Amino acid sequence: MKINRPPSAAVDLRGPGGSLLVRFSSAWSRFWFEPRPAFSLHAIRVLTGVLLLVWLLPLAGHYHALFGLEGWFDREAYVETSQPQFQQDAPPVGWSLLYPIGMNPAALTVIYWGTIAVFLLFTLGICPRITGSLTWLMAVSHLANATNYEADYLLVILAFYLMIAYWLVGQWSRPLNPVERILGTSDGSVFSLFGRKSTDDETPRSYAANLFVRLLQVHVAVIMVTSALHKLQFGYWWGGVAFWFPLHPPFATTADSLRTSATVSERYLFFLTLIQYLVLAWQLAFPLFAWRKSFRWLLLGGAALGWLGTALVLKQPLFGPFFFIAFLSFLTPGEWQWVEGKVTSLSNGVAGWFRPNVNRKPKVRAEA
Amino acid sequence: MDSSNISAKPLPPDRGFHRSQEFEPPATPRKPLPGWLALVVSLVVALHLFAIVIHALAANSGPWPTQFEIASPAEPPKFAEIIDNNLTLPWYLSPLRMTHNYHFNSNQTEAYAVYFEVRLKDANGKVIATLKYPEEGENAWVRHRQQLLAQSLFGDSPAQPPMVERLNPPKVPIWMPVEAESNQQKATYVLERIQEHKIPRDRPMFRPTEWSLAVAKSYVRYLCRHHGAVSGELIRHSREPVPAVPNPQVIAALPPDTFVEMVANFGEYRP
Repeated sequence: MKINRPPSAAVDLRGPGGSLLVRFSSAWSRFWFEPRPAFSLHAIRVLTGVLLLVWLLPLAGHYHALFGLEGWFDREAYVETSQPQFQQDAPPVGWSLLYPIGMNPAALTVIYWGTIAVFLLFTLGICPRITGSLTWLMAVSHLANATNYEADYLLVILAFYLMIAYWLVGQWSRPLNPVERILGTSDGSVFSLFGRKSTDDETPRSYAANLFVRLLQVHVAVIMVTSALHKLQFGYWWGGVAFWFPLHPPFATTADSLRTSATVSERYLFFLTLIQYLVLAWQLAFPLFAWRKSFRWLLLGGAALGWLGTALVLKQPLFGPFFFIAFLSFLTPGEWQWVEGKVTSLSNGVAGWFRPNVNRKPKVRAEA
Repeated sequence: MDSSNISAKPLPPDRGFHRSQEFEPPATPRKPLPGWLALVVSLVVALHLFAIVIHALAANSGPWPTQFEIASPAEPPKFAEIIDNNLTLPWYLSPLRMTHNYHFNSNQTEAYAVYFEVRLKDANGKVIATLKYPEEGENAWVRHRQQLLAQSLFGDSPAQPPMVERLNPPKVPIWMPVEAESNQQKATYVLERIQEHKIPRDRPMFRPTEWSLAVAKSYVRYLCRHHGAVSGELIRHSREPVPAVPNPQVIAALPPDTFVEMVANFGEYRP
């Protein structure tokens, strides 16, 4: 018996059962399988690529020290800390493509600049299926170092979901040739922006782009809530004074400097504790407003302020940009369409500077 | 969960970003996703998110106060711990390196400040260089990594003598105070290995973690290779976090060691 499916782009997972099952499956289908324009995927790819480049480029002069097996954490230390008594204190080591070549400085240099090249190609959108996979491999490989920074793991989340998305994008619903199926398409590349007339050109809709965006949304919501609940395990977060400590670095604070400081006052603590509670409330309430368009100002405003705060107060360089990029995944297709329009106009404007205008008439000065 | 499927009224053209025209309801794609594929993807997505959530749940919590007046971490729920340790972490999350449980160290803002210096020596024991980390003048990203390295040298734990003395008591590394080099602003300690039953019982004693010892030795080895030194002496400087005070009168009531710098000498290490 032929089942008549409703005319919807989303898969209908309706099955026999009560209305709750129907509602849930319909909502699940809309959430995970509604194709959306792929611009959001490409935009987040570009921003992630830039972040990855900023992550690695400043370490150029210290690459061997940080990632080599004769660096800050050498081979002997890896062997020593693989013993059972270290398991509690040591960060997880895991696999890395750098281990086999860690003792060879020339190979490390090649790997470093090769990684930068891969990140750059992925940012530009060249052969995204291949460069996306390599980007993830290299991002993960660079987790293996003595100064294991927790925000590095957040970059791996972005790289992983982008890799999956670019493996899948266009594979099902677009007629691709074998080369495109292996290397990826070029319509998401940065260069493709310069040829487009306007967003009226049909932007391919993609199930993979929606899947990527939704995975990132849910994962980020889990991170925000988990981190907020973790903060509540410390008394100073309940007391509202969590931000006091980074604002008063111990080596820069003495009893005399405190006595004369304007920060030692009830008024200061009033505002400091209030701000901290607002931050905590924002983080705990994140899943309640992140998906709502009417609270977009709260989402992106919070991301911007959070970036400033984590960089300037907490001295954490990567949390801010990661969360800002991840929060962009909450924009609706309509909002991305607006962004795409602005980007297209800007790119056309830039391209116009370099294009000769053969139709321009010479200016004629009016004679008095 | 978003409003992309709700058709909107026509909007004035000059409204801002968040008032942009709603995305038009999508047309039927050339090739709709078949049910079986959506089911498979749904299963994979559900399992993936389950692994992530279980891993976050399977973290220790705390430290929480106990009846013994010592704060102690609490074990995670057993169901999460069993699933995470036996299934999701080793078989899925570890290969993907998604092993962070989002209990960020940076949430613990009440942290000690740490820097360290290394005195490099030649074969005659003469100091050829004294290097301080994080380095002044280095770029911010590298200084951040050096700060992380300094933090990993901290995290001392209490050292308690055993209740029962063993026949061949092992030696343990302990921070022993050096009274001659200590004053009101500075408390100096040196690392000594003593038999565990000889740990003083009349005052709290502390010891470095095995991890910090391994990191210290590794970094000294690196600097010796890099600078051609024969040995190195790593000295860690740390200070307690400054408590929040609502008015200047409270400052006098702060504990006496609030502003005291702890100088901990890991000792000379010869690779």
